[in-house]
Amino acid sequence: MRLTELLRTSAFRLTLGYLAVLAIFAFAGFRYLYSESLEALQIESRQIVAAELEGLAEHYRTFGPLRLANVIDGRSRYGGRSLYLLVDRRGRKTAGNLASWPEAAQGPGTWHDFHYRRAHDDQPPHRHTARAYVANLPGGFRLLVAHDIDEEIALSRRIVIFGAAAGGLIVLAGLAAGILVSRDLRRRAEAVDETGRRIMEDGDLSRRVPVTGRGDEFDDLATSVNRMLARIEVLMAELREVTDNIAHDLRRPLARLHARLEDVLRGPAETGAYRDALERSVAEVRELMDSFNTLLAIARAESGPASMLPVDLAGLAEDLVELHAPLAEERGVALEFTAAGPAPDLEGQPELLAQALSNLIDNALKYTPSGGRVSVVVGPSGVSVADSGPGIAPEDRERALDRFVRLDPSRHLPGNGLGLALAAAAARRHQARLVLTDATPDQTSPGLKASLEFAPS
Amino acid sequence: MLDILIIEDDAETAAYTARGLREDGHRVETAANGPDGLEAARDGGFDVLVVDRMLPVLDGLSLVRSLRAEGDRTPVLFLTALGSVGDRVKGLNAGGDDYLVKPFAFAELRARIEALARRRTPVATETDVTIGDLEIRRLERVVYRAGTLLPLKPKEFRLLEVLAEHAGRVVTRTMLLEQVWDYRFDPGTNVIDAQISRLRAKIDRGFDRPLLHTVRGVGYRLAAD
Repeated sequence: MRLTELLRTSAFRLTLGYLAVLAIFAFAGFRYLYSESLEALQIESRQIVAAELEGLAEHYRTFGPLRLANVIDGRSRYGGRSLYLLVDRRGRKTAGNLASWPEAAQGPGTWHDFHYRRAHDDQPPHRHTARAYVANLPGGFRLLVAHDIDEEIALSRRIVIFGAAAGGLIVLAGLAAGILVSRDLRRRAEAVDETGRRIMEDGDLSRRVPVTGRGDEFDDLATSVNRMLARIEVLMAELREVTDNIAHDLRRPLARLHARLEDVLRGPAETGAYRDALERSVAEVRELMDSFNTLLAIARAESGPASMLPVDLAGLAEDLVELHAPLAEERGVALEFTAAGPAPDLEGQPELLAQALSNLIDNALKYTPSGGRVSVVVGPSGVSVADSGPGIAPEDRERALDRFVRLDPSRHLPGNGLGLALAAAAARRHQARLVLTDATPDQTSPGLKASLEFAPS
Repeated sequence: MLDILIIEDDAETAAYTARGLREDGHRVETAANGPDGLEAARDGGFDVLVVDRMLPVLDGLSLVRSLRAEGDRTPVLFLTALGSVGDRVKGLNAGGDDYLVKPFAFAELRARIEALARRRTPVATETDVTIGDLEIRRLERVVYRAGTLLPLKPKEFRLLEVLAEHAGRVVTRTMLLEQVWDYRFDPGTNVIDAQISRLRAKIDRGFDRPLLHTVRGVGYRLAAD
């Protein structure tokens, strides 16, 4: 991964931001700690110097310059880290272990850091740093007391080095972690990205985003994207099927219509024949339109959102039975409605369900011979329409729900072969099933029982 | 005679429809887009507006909404290629009075236009309607023919009532399905014809002059002539 790519990843940018904030706070904290410990070290050396100076000045005031020089010489010989220099009014050294008055330490009453050379432990003299305080004594004497602060400086230097090293390590580790995390996240985001790009390239909706099985948020995302893809795939397949079917199914009647009209045109130019052909053509176009509308209704039932309303299944069935009652009577078929227990509580599209149930009743009346019976029963599982017609052989039942399937080979009854298909689509729309069974299995005419069975809610 | 405005962008449909309505003796104006149609409708004087839902520049829904907002109550019949329940509800909510899905039979359009125009006359709201010797008392929901009480079931009464509201004019099968049963789908084979036969058996059987007439290929008409 190149640096520019790395910088573009959100994970790395987040890491950088995090590191920057961490560095600012760590630096501030370190500085505070550093100045506090420096202060503590300085207080110690200053207290030593101040105490000695105070003592020596007191000595001078009490015993005079000679005794002071003796004391200083005594202390100087003692070695250690204290430095002394007493000069007279002409600046000549009277006592002390410093060779000359340091340039940097002039005025009294304030602290001065200065460098001096010093030999110890049999090593050649090298540069030391000391902190000095100067006091002007009566009689023109000037006294300088200093304390070697090399250790103090070394310690503070060590603190700085340690802090810098720790800070550097934190930043490096952070950057490394950032790079690793960015790489990993990027790889996983790329997996989603890659799938999407390939689908856009070749339209193959069967592709899926890989799921690692770690169960993290990327897996959640991948699962959700995959579920969406699966849904789109199903919808696309359905859409393709519907358009294919409509195109295929309307081609045949259109061709027939076309042939008839051409046939009439080829024939003799008689008003009567024209009129007859036109009337039949208009009727055929109407049938075609009905088929088309039903196909659209099926397609609409099978896809797309719809507003859901409460459905009174029993009321709906009763109304439809009442609507079909005179027709049944004309045909000598007994049409009955029975409420066998409470209907299921439904939310759905009442009009679509009414149309589905109407188709079932219409079908039953169509295939039931005179003297037979059709009974519509509403119960807790849904609604069923049973007739005493010839029924449908078990092997044909699944096919009977397809579009444009007409099992009656003679086709002497009107219909477009879409009634059961629409009822089945309406059932699917309501998470219900359209089940075809024998109404009276033991008899020679088994009849058909078409049930809309709703899943218990 | 009715004054009818057709607002329809498909010139051929508009021309056929206008010609058919003129042959019936109506005065017809046409407009080919929304703004022209709105302007013509605002000039007023029409008994019925026939409005296509999808029009160039200003769509039919917005056009009717504007008219209604201005207080214009002229009956509107929407023509549309959109036939779903939701589309119909949208059309009626915008202020449409009826809704006809394309393609339609001309006779269906004619019957609906005449029904809409009639809605403005008080016939539809009268409590008692008399057609020949048929007397419909809407408050008590009873019917007499030549002084004899006819035993009608509730739905049969409603069927007769709808026919009576449009007395003298054709009512189509789909209009009956919509107004009596509130169904917007075609329940198929001859259900309405059978319903009418049963009603006819109750109101016309045994009387010399039939009142309930079949208009072949279109629908039914209740009239004393």
